[in-house]
Amino acid sequence: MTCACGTEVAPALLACPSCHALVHAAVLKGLASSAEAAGRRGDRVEELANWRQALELLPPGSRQATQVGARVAALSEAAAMGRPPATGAVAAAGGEAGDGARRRSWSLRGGLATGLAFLATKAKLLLLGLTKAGTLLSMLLTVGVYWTIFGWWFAVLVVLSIYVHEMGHVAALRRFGIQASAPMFVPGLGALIRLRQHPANPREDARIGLAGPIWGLGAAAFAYAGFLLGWGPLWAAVARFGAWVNLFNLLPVWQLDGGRAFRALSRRQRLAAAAVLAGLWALSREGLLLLLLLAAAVQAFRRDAPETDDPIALGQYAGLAAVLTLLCQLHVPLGGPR
Amino acid sequence: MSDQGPQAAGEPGSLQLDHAEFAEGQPQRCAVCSQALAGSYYEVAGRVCCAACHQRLVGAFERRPGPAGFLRAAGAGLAAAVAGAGIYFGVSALTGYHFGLISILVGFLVGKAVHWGCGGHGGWSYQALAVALTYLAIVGTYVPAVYAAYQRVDAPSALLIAATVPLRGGVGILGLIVIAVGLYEAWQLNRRPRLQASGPHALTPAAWRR
Repeated sequence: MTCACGTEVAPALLACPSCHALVHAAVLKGLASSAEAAGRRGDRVEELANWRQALELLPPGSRQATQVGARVAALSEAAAMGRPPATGAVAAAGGEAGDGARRRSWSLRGGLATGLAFLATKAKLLLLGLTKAGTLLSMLLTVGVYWTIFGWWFAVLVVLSIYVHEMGHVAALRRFGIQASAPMFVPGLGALIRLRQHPANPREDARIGLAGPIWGLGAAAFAYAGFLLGWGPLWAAVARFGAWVNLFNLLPVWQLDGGRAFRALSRRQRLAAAAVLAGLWALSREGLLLLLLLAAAVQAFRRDAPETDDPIALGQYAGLAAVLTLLCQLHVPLGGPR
Repeated sequence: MSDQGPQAAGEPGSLQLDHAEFAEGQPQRCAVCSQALAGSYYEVAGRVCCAACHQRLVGAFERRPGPAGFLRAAGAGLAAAVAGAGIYFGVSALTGYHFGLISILVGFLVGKAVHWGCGGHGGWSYQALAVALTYLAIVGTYVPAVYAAYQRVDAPSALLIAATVPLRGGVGILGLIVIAVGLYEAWQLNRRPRLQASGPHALTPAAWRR
């Protein structure tokens, strides 16, 4: 490609090395326009998604990349903390990230209506996820494999509980405007989602990581409620298995959900999380907690721990570990499903 | 460059998006040696550089590690394989669970070690080495079970029997999938990387005479 100034622009460059003309100027203007429009109508998710895409098309080190990066960081921080962004013309109304601020002003009736709307939104997302062919086919394949080992109903319910966990990640990714693939199931491993864009900061990473176990806990709690309602011991088994899988995902290593959560925790918070895990192990004697504790202790002494605390991430992590451990202690009555 | 003044950080709303603006001035210098570019430039991994730096980078990238590199990769990979098997036994002893998923961690560790040993050059020989060592580490964890099943068996025979366990259906379909993912991880980590480079590209005379 040759620039208007006469310089040949190499295919991988984002700007002409001579006159600095932006290669993707037209696309960038479209994205900026969409982002501004979304900001004006208070759609923070759409605004963030557009600025993220724009950032990928700007040369690193340019003034534009710095400014758009700062805007992405501000929007991301606001979404992670559940408050309006510090700068920019984003209206207070609308946007899932405003939930935290709104929650405080709930009246009883308003709270009920908002709660129902919240559940309806999540249910819609759960159904929409099944329209992706890759997700559905890999789910069916996984059900088939598990069926041969665990039986029909357990296979279906376990795969559904993993699906709910993955859709938690999808919901968080959408909230932060990050592009990602649909969940793909792998028998024996669970499921995975490939991120097409990187999280802007550790807090964002932690929210996305912990959203999976939060939703997974919801699925396990639902299964347990089913057991309490007399649907049969199969539901208790699903609740316990789901809780164990989600607890395993809190292992603070690598790309596991716990690993993402720990990236946002300061050293003292990592030590606090380790202390919580030690306490839970002392109470439950769940062997998996020893593995989590060991990994958390190693993470606490790593040099890359952030300086600032993230109380939300620590609270979510500790709360999840506690409730999931409790569910792992469920007694599953023997005698097969009713 | 732009007729608009700089905007405050965090307010990209009125950005001009025709030309990139750089604080340090002229990016038509080599990104590696900072020499001014004259007449033409090369692009290496998204950076603009001069002919000499392009030649040096491509040369370094294409240089093969040789037998010494292979031996170092084999040694590092073997150490990682032993460590991986150790982690499996350690986790089993600590938690009471037998995690087949550790196969993936083993593949990652061995793959990374081989990758380090060969200086990141990769290629089919290093991929095969990483896969073989990963498989050895995984089946090595079956050796205690083989000893328990066969009373009088020496160590090489025990390892040989253990190596055939997955092939004889001894780990089930889920075990096979997890092993396959571990081996794939080791293979992927040692793919021969591709250097994205192009050029020479002509610079407009007005740009390099500035």
